[in-house]
Amino acid sequence: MLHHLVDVAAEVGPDREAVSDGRTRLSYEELAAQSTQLARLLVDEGVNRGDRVGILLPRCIESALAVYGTLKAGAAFVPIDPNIPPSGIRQLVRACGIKHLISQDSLLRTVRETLKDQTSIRCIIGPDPEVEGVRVRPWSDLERYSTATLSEIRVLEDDLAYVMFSSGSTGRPKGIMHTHRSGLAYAEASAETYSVCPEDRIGNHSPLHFDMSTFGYFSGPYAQATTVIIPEAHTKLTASLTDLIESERLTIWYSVPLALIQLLLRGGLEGRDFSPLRWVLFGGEPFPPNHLRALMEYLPGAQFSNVYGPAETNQCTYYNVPPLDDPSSEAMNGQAGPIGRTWEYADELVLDDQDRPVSNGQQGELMIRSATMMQGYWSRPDLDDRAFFRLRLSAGPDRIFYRTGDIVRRREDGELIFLGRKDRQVKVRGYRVELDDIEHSLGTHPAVEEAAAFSVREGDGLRHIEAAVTLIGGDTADEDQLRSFLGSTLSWYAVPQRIVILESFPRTGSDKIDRKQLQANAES
Amino acid sequence: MSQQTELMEFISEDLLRGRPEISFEAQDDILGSGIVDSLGVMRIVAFIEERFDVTVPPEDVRLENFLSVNHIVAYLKSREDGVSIDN
Repeated sequence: MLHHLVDVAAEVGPDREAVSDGRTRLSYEELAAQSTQLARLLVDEGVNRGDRVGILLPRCIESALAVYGTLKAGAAFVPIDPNIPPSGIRQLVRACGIKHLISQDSLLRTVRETLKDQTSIRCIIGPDPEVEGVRVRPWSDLERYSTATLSEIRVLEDDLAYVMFSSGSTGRPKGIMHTHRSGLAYAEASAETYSVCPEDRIGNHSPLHFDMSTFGYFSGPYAQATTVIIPEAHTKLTASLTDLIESERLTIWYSVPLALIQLLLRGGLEGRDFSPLRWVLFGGEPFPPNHLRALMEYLPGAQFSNVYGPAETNQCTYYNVPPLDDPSSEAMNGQAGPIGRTWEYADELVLDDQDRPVSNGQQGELMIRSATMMQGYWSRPDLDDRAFFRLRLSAGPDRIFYRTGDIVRRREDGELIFLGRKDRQVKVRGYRVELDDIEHSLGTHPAVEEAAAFSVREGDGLRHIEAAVTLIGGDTADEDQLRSFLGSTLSWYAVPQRIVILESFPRTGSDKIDRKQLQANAES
Repeated sequence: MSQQTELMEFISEDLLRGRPEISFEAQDDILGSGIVDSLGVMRIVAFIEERFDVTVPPEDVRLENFLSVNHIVAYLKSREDGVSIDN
């Protein structure tokens, strides 16, 4: 099971460093022992096998303890983004029936705000001060518990391990369910693909609620390597991040392109020693080729790879970026690279809108089948029906594929090119945002008559979201009020950077709002 | 108005508009707790450059100078002192 990864690593190399945040370090022996103590505390507080335990933490070393402590208690962990509004946190808590929440002092205000309305939470683990209405167990309480393995808790491979939430199209977030099996399959596949070894030091930039974090949290322990959890503050202060990458002698890096672009533009990379860095993985959105080229020049010793995979399947394809002196390099030619080919642990289909296979060179929707695939959406069988494609065979079990919603084209050489989305989902800083969701939320404001949300391309090739509204006659609302209104219901990254108030919308021939025109206006 | 007050106002009125539930003090870690994100840091840099007439080189955008409002104020003070010595 997933939690056995740290126990096995602790047996093989107890003193080997398991996790670090640049200041605090835990050996595998310490991580194994303390996560067992946390599991015992959780069980003592009434956590049962199959329960969901919320993890409301910034990027920090305790998050690794929270993950493995929860799994050892036989429960599934639900990472919660500390930056979403309290109403959003309550929504996830309610959806999953979370009774136990792991957090810390720095988030007490958020915790208290969340608990102002009735929730199912009855115990908070981590903070020191009291919180009204719930039991609080500070980290220091762990010492009271034994470090002996909880052998009486039976966990099987198809038990739920974690639920990761992603935005939904009608304001209802979708909980992606992964089991121990899919988690372990990913840990093995990625560790093997990138030849992760015990000497590796993985830079984990992603927050826990982002599926890329499974590389640091699962694949690292699988390979008995060290995972350096980049602390929250370092992700915002690029000069400090550069220091950390150098001083921690990171060998593998995995993040969204934006983090790497910030390093490139503001990190002061000149004259630094990044020689241990052997592999730079990026994913979540396309890397603007000019920045990629510039970064590759700073890190000539590193292999760069574009990683693709929705959180529903975790990683499923990758593309090794050719070196800069290779004439076929897309980065050299100013093009965005392919998302690559499916790795050997996955199977792909590219189908047209009638679910018929298309030939190479034709566009179609990408379907993925893999052991790393999710089990389905939490309590949403209606979504599962649409999410999976069943390939009937004349004999034997159906092959079940996940419909990615991504439109691709397979090149003659087998590499997949990402062309766009089937729906109106966009990626902003690696986060999935449903434009329909934003329009829906804006539409619930009492002064708004109609709303349109669209993504706007920035000079460096990245995108942000803007919106436009018309108001009901005689009503007034300004941009600040509308943004403020959205901030109380949407995740921070989904709130449009700009909202313009129009007298009327440009219309298409069929009288729909002309979003392309709005987008063009914003880009000009 | 003191630099501390101006910075507090800028962060709460400009960076945190739409998030009325968040409050913070001058000594609070504004980065670790998620009050300010990475683009927010850039906007703070742009704000102090314009408002206090300093140039903030990228290598100064680090923990020791930007962890809290008090850290930023101390950094601005060190820059003023630095300038007077240079002169």
